[in-house]
Amino acid sequence: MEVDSILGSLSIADNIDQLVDVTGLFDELCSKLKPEVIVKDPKFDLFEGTHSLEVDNSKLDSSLIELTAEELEFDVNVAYESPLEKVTAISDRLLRCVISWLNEYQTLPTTVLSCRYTESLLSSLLKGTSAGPFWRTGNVLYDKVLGSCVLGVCYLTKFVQKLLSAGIVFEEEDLNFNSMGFNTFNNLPEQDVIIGALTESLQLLEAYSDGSLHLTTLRHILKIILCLVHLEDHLTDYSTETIHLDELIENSNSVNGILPQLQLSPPNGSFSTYIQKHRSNQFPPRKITKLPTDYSGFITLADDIKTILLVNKAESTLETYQFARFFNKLKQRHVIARILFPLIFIRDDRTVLGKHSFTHFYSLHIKEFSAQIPSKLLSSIGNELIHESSNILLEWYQNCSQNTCRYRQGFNRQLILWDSLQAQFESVNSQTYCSWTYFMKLSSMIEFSLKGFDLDIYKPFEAYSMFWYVYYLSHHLENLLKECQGDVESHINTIHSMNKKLKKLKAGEKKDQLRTKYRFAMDNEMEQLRTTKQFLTYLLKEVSITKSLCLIEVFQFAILKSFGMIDVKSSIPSNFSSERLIHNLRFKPFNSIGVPELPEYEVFQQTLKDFIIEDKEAAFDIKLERATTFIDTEVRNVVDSIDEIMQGIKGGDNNGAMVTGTRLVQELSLEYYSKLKHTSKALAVNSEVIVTTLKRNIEHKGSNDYKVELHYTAEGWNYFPIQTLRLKKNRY
Amino acid sequence: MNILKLSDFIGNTLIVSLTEDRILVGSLVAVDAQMNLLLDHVEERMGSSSRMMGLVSVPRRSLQSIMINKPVLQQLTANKVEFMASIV
Repeated sequence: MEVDSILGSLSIADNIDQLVDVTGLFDELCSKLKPEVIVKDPKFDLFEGTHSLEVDNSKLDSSLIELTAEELEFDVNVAYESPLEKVTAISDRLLRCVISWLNEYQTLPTTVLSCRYTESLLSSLLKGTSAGPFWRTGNVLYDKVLGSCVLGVCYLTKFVQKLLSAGIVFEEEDLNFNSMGFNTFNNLPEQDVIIGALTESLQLLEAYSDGSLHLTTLRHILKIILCLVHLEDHLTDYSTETIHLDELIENSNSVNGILPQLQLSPPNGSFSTYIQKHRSNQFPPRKITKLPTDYSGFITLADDIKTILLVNKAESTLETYQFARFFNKLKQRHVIARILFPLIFIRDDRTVLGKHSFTHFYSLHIKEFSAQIPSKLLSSIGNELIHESSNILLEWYQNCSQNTCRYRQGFNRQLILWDSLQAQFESVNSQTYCSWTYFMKLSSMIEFSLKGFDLDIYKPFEAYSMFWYVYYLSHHLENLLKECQGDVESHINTIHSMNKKLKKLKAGEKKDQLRTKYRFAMDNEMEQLRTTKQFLTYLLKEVSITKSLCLIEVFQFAILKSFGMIDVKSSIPSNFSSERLIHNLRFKPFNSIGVPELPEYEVFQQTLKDFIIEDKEAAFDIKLERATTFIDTEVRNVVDSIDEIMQGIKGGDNNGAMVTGTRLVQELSLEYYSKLKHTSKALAVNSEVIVTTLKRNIEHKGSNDYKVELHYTAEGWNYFPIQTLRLKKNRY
Repeated sequence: MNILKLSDFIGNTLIVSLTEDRILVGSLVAVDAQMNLLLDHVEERMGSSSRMMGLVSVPRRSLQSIMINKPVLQQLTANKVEFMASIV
């Protein structure tokens, strides 16, 4: 609400006689109120009031920002001395502001908009589109070269604003776009005009032949900005061209090599909190961000975009599925890449990668998972259900590019959707669709549960329940996959038996018919059947790894509990809660899932008892020995399975035994399995350490010296933390 | 004017003077017994410049004066009189 629309053109200074002073009245009325009373708009929630900016509070009131004399006197229309050095320094700092904003999640006003030249350029666009000059110093380096640099950065900012408006990521959480009331980004000239301005600047620099490092750096900076301006091509034209990304990497590396040799200092006051004090601002004052010292952030940006562009090369849905699983799994990708992925994958023309309609893409998943021909399947299922399924699948893909916390939250929502979908498929008796949906649901449930360890959500005492539950889910998934593989094998055998039958049949119409049927099956179905069988073999290996690792964790917890080191309840007593309530709260996301049913709290308790070795048992040591031997065997099996998978990946799925679908994410998947292998070995070592330490501890009668912590190793995979014994710190 | 209560001012635009040249113009959302104000859609005017600040709380110690546009006050009073007459 603009105040002028309420007050008309009232100018306070000019129309003071139109105003009535009600301070005394307010004083009188307030004095009659009880101290605790607040008179408020009934629609206003006082909680919102906690977000208000308090005037005269230096932490909240941006009007109190104190500017230096240099900041106040700074003038964009002045050509500060040593123009080449200064223009290079300003452009360099502006680019490092971009990195700080996009790579380090800093705010726009404390980075890009802290540059007085950026502010000035955006202010000049209030009157309409302009390609400059935006300031007139009379020096070509300031007016043209710096002008084009700032213009290019503003154009990138506009592109980021467009990406943010797609609603893929969360403002403030993934990206800040506090534009300080500037709505002028749309008044920026078109891309070709900006490219023209930057190219012209590069040509202008040709005239300079002093061979200084400043000049070289400025040239690289202009080229970097050109590359940044081209980023939008990946969205507007769905360009898969990586030449600008390669140039971005090359020029950033060059600048990284030069920067340590340069002393760059922009004119005093050219980067300031000035904008926070003078422009519309609904946020507390913030200091200017400490900037990165090099351009590695641009290399990350370019590498991550190059990674997500690879999805365009997918040849099957096994590959898109595996791509989505792995591309953002090991490290959180750059926010621009994470936004671009779903926008490139699920396009505005309602296609996936410009190749498949949403429902066709969905049916390909079913086909590749079950090796059944979708046309046969689609006819029996209602269109509405297929559309709903497609949307849930696309949401799964979109979720894969979320930030690490939202990723888990997205799965939470997905669980209910997959569950409801499965129930609907059951009601129309569609086994194939049902199996695939169940596979997606169980996989999501396992991912959701284990991701909690990565996010450090669970306390050590919850480790048993979570790992036992994932073991339980893995068991269901394993059964499902075996069943699916059985169906595929039976189909393959049916086709092979046709051939045997053919050999026995005498020539005639019956034989001709069977031969045609056999050839059709061999030409159209056999290849997919073999691929699916081998993919299911891979999935079975993977689920057996998860199952074994969970079992190892469960055994380790049980050993620790057998020694009295840990229990399935918080060590801190609470009058307001109970073990059962805490357990139920943790498992609430699974409460509404129909299949597999969430076991009761008592089942969790009972299963733990089965694993524990009672200290009164005569054969305590023998049972302990058995448990550790079991862990060793399981670890060996896990390592063997991981090696098999890694061999399959390295061999490009050509070993005839296993299809992993990881062609596009070969390195990433190998890194993931290496981490998993490291974790498996670390678990084996931990098992020995736990037993040795605790036995020694008992001998020395010091059972209270240790506590259990969940330890995450840098080389390992965080979904399976190590339940480590730590010496309790002496408080005194 | 004396028949008005604090609740009558809720939702109306106040002109709150903080210092000689710093004025906040915003819609009154809440006020407490200590006369701390909560204003929304605030426009800050300093000298010849102005900017939007959103939701702002003004502690009693910071405010010099509260003013309201005369026609708005007259309308508020007239409404109140009419309302009182209708319930008598």
